[in-house]
Amino acid sequence: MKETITTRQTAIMASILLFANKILTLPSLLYEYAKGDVLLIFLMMFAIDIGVLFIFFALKKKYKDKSFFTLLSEKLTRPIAIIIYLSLLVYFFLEILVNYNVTGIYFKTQIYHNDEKIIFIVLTLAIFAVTAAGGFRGLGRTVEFFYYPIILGASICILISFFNFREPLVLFDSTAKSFFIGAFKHALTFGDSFILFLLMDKIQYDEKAKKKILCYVLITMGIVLLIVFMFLSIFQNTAFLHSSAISDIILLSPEIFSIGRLDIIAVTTVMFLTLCQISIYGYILSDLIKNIFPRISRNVCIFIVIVVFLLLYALVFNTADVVIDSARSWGIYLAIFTQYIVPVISSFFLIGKKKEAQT
Amino acid sequence: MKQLLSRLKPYSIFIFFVFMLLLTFPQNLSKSSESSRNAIITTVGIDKKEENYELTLISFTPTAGKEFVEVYDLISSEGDSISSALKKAELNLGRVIEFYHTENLVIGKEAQDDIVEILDYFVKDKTLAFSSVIVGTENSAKEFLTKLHKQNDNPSAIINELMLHNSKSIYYRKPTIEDFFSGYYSPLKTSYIADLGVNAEEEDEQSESQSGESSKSSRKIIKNTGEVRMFKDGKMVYKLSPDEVNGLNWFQDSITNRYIKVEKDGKIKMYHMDNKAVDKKVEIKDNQPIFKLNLKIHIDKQEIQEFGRKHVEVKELTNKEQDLIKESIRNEIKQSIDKIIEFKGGNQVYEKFYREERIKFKKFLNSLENIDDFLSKVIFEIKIDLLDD
Amino acid sequence: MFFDVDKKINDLMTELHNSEDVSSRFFDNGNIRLGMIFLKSMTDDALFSDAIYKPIKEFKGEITVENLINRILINGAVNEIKQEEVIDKILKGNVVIFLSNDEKIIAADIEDFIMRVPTEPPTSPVIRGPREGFTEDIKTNISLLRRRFYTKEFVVKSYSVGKYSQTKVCLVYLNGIADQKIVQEIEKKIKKIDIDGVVDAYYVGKFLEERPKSLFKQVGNAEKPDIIAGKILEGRVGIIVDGSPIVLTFPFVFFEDMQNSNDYYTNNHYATYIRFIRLFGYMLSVIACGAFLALRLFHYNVIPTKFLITIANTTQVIPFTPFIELLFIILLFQILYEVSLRLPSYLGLATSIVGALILGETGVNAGLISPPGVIVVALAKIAVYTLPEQAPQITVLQILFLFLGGCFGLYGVVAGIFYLVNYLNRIDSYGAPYLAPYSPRVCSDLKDAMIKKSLVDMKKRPMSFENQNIVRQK
Repeated sequence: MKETITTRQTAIMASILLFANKILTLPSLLYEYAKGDVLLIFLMMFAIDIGVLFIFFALKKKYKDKSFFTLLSEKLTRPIAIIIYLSLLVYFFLEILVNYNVTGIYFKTQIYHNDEKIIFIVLTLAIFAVTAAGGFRGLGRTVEFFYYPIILGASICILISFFNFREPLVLFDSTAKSFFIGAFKHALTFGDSFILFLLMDKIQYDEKAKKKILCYVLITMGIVLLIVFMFLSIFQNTAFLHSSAISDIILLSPEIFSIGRLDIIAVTTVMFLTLCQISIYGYILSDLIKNIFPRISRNVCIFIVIVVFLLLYALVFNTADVVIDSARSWGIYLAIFTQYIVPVISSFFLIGKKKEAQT
Repeated sequence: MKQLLSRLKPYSIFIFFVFMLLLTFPQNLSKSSESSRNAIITTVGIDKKEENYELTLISFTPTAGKEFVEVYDLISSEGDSISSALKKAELNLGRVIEFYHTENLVIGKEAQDDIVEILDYFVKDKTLAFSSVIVGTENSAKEFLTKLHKQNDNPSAIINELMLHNSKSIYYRKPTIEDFFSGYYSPLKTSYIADLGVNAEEEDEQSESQSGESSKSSRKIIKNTGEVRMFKDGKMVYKLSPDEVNGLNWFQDSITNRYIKVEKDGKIKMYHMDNKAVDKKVEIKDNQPIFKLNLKIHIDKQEIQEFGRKHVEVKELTNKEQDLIKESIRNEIKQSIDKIIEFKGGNQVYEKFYREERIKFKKFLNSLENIDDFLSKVIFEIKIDLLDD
Repeated sequence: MFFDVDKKINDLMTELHNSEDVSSRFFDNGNIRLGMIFLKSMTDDALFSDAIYKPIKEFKGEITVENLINRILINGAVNEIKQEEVIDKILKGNVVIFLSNDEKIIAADIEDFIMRVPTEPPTSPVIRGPREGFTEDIKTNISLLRRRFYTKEFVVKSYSVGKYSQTKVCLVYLNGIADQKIVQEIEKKIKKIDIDGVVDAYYVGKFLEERPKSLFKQVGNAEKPDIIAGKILEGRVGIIVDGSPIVLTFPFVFFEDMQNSNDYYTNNHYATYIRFIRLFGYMLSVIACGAFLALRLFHYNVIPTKFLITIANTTQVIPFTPFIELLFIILLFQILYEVSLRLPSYLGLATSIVGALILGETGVNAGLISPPGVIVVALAKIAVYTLPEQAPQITVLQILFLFLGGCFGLYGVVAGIFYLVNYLNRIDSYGAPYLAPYSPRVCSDLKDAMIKKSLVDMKKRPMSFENQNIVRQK
């Protein structure tokens, strides 16, 4: 029997992916391009994400239980579907490597100052293997379980950060060119709504699904925007010095909070977030392989993902610089293709269907 | 073999976990705690001697015993760079030096010229928190910390005590590294740090008492001078006197309690302000920036002190008295602003204009040869209201 | 026709290996000869005399099977049985009667053995609420439940489990509320049990769990009839096993253990508060040791300076590494716990004095163990008993998390929690997701999860598992 997840779990999965990646280095990196307008970049990219979500809603409504791969195969022929899926494989490997490096550096600077990266590799891969092998339903429920702790952790950070609030944000302070370059250079970090396309056959889509998913996604977007807003309001001139937004917003907490390093709340939140995200990406990666090579069992797919990840990590992307460089060069085009062009292409399937209906 | 593998298959994940644990287990079983491998440094002092840096570290020394004791050691080392001085200190201490628990950074007079490089090094390479408090001193940091260490094992506690109070009465914000950088990376590149000095009289008494008995004096030998060091582009340019700091404090909402000194005919009267409201507005008319400061001050009429006399109580301030108070405040503000203009500061005023009149202000800035001079072109309109009960 | 009653009795005596407690009596009035066989250890002598022997002796008419059942042996259950049931009936405290003029066999229930009276179970004392608890007698246990359901819908189904023990296992549920599929599935599983003997309810429980090899319990259990009645009212199925004071319930979800019978007899706000305390206690007991070790080995920077100074001072002379020290304290605690559990109470007190005062105090003074280590382990071990039902798994988890924290630091602990939740999310108990109503979220069940609403608000039965009738009150 095919394992499916509920609409709420889908909404939470989309929210978790939306949340992750954006609350660490991104605000600081974007500040170099857009100053206070970083918030507007987030708004713009989120708006595009919501647009992609609407394409997904329409697609899911039309092709209820069809998988995205089947849809692509039917509409664009199987070889093209395989090519798209192969590019998706590369995209997700790059995405997972970027996340791994960003969070790895974050954990290292925050709490693991003296220890080797082996700890992250071992644990991350172990968790990925276990959750992916455990099935999609278990993963959906797990992500659902951790949603509230993650939101709670982020909310506590935001709450504490209010004590450090300095001045309101100065908007429209950057040039249009730097604004769009900033958004373009970090395209890989946005566009997570697209992932729902890949899981569309595993989602129970009820009547309220659209409303539910939008509701969760908007709440999460609100929290991300609040973190970005607080970060920029607190640091402004020094934003580029602070590479982990969620931890840094509580860094200057006043004396009443001097009970230790409060950023442990942020660190724990990011840990749960990372594990959720890695598990989802891991599952999707194994699913992509399973779609391309349907005869291979799920466990073998997981094994392939682990081996490829280790090989890529050991041979090519062994330093953070290489990964970040890739993400900001060819990775951008790959991201734009997978995150935005593929959904746009799939929106044509909707039109095609209409014509069929008319004839 | 095949049979064994098939038997183990259901437990594969468990075996995988056990394997992972075993991979790191032996190493961690024999690992000592981080607090015994690393030094716990609470205060750092930096001096510059000719081309060398001298580091003075206050390090906590774990001491076993039935009673709770806090023992701190003072270690100093010299090197041609901070990192080499740090390496030497590590060798002396026998532990890795990390700055996770460092609360204060004392920068000696000579080293203050390299403050940006020093802070940059500590923050980026040595994990010093942005929330650590920076203290400037007229003496060398080593001398400062040595005296402080003699008085109390843990100087960081005393510094925090003084700075916590200080942060409420000095110009600008809490004197942390973050604040320093915030000013440094602002368009005017002006930043401020607080100043602590050695109390000369107490120092003498301390040395006398030490010759007589070995017990440490509880009297403080460190004083809060009330002065603030002003840095322009990372270099110290001026030390604001306590009066000048007070003058700037009229712009601060947070400082609501102070004495106002009024001098007339050689007589000095002190009025106690127990509340204050600050309203700041900016406007640019015909490329002329105007900063409007509206102060609403409440004077405690039960606490007016005449020089050489006891407290006197008055029912109402006369118009003359009110004018004198206002005049005194205006003078204080003017003197302070003049100094800030002289040394090309004025971050807060700049930010206020930039936020509220951005387009006009940018136009105004473009009309200037050097934006550092902007403050001298600003007209300050100060309105003071003395409130009745 | 004449049947040799004596031979039949003798054959049975031989079949029962002439056991000491097998007893036989004969009655002969010239016309008819009756042979009676029973177990002295399982029957009441007075009852045999008053309800069986005396009425037969005093009966004036003709002794026939019909008269015996309908007119003579009118006290208690008297049935006609088949030849193959004879041994079973004797073993279950019946007196089996053979007649010389009829081949029919009669069994009369005069079962009686030493029984505990229903008292408050030591494992679940209450401040308010009923104090009676189940006993080892299945009849008493059923009657304790029957008294709470004066309805024909309360169904008791009986099975015999165990090749040698032939233990009576009863399945109880409310018809029209409990889902028939669940009932049938449990019935099927009970019938499938092929074991030599059942000594306690947990024997049966293990066969009914969906993942019997799992560390985590998947069966609800209680020693109090009010708790079981509450669960049956929710649509669960109860399993009563003869000889066990524990009654099992299915389906089971993790949050059942967060609930306590006290919660239902007190203010719901207080109950909510206490449930959060239980959750906090659970988390503390599972991760405290691992997290503390992680902080000491990997993340000393996170510890507040004042606390770090205390730890550094107190651990200065400890000869062990932090890992070994904590492991040592945990094992020491566990040994003391086991000893105090097994020893008689007067010796148990001595053990706790030796453990707490001598070993703990002297260990700290001698510099073998550090006070922070002792505090953390003690806290974790005490917190286990905020959820006593989960104690066995928490104890194992403590060690696992200690290893995770010690080998991988905080990320290890967090990854452990993540894996744990993922694992539990994959367990279903008869269709009920183990971590329901949180993942997946079941809105209506949230009223009696961590936050407990008032009883008047609980209009529906739990929806985490199937129910025939969802409406609980209107």
